[in-house]
Amino acid sequence: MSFLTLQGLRKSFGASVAVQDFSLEAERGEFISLLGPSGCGKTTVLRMIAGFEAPSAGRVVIDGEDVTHLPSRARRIGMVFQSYALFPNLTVEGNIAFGLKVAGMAKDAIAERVKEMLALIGLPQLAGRFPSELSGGQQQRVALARAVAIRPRILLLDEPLSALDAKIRVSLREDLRAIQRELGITAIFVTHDQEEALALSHRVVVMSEGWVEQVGTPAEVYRTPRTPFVATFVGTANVLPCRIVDAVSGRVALGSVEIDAAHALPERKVGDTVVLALRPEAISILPFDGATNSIAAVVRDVTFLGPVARLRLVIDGDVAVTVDLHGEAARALPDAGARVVLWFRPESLQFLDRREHNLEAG
Amino acid sequence: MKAGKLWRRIVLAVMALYVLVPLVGVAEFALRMRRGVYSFDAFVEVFGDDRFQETFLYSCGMALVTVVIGVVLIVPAAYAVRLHAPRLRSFVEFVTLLPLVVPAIVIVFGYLRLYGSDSFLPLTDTDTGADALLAFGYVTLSLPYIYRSVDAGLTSMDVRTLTEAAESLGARPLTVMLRVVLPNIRTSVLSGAFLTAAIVLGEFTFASLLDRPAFGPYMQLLGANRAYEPAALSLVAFALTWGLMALIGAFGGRRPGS
Repeated sequence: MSFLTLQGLRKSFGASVAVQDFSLEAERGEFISLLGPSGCGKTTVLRMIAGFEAPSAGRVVIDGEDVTHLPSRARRIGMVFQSYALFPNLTVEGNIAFGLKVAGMAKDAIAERVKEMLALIGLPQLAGRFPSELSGGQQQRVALARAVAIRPRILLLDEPLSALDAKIRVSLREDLRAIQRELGITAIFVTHDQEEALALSHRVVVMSEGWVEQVGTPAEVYRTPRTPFVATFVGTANVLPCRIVDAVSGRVALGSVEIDAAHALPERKVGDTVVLALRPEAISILPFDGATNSIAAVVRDVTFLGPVARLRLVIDGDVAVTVDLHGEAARALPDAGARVVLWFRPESLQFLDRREHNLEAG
Repeated sequence: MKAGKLWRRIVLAVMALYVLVPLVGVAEFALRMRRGVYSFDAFVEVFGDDRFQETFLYSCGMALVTVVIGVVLIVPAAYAVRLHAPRLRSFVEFVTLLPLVVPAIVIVFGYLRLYGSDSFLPLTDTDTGADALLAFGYVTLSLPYIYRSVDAGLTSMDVRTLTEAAESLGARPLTVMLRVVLPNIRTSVLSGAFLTAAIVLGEFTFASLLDRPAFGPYMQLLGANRAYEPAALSLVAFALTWGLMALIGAFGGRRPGS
């Protein structure tokens, strides 16, 4: 049985539906990210787990206990907020001890736990400081310590890194991952940053407009996106509408150019429209024509981005394609207007579903 | 000296004269009770008057009661409106401003009709009842000051997130109120409280019409029958108000954790 079960969660605010039929099962110690753009419903899901929003339908079960109708204070969850939410009137020590005092823990035990938490976040020297005397990164570490000090069943993280600058965000991200692994705590992490989600999570739930688009490991979500939304939101992808030429061999036509997609499509027939995703880094520029899946293209513009050079090209007159070149391939870049030959492996092409919802993750 | 700076100094000087000249005049007059020499006789008379001590202590007690009732009523109300009914905020603000619009004499006549001898709840028949009525009246008068101070305090903190943070850590609503909300709006609550105390100490209409032995009616009585003592008393009242304002400034300037 799963440690956390979210079953058919739905949340509407008046006529507007924020979350539609959201189901998820998480194992003990698992780190799951809810990834999506603003307004996709990810924070609402987190708030329903926390008990700050009552679901319009569905259930929240933690460790076999149905907590759907329990107030937040009775759920034994730890929450870290984007805005830190440290109590300004209390010192670092006071903030970390807050939940322990509320729980009626003995003074000695509180002091011991606070010391342990300060060591965990690497800030033992700041115990007596007030939040206003700390940097953003330090405040968020204290907020994390406060949340895990009460030994919660689940740690909920609502975009905890969003308010921090880039360098601190990366270092805190690593610390967050290390602390979660060390404590073996189940964590649900809300973010709109795909890099954070991919770097931290065991599994990623990609959401859009209140629906779950895809659930999978970071590699699955990146390499085999199921919908055009996932393909374009997680990383960059060329989304190519094609017609089926041969459903058995998986041959499709992109405009007037035929390509081999290496996927049999028994349920489709010749002439059906399908949508394919192709990552920009999966495309190479060949010095010759004639190989399978080699396509003539015209370079529209070239952008040098340091470790990568991004080329925008046009195939067959009007199909726009983006290509990322790395390393040696990026040394001699073609000029805008140059004619080149693009090539990719058939297995790099990913067939995308039409939007499918009600996905359930086991 | 630049023209702008000179103008600022002139404006400040005029303002200072406008405020200080009458005060100096009152002080000078209060000190002239003994013929031919300056003395503190008027102040000695005032402080030695039993009625001064009685009425002053009565009004201080009333101010304390008003502040306690006001804070107990208004802090949870302002907090609840912000957290659970933010759309009602402008309506509640409008209601709390009504005592500034409706004259005190209208309110007190309303009270007398509602709680007079012939009413279903004749509070004015007993001293305790009339004291309670006066305290409730003062709470009404203090609504704009306490509510606006508390609301300003709540604006300066992220009430919703701090409440949710405390709840996620297991805190009950009373704990959230006492250990998270109140400590973080302490300066605002104190500002409202001192302002209320200053108003209650000098209030005349309610106390006079409800026939309570308060400081306001005493000042009026003294003013009508004596010459030098009212001048001394008005300086005492000024000093009291300034003292309370200084306390607001002192507490208002102190940040949590500083």
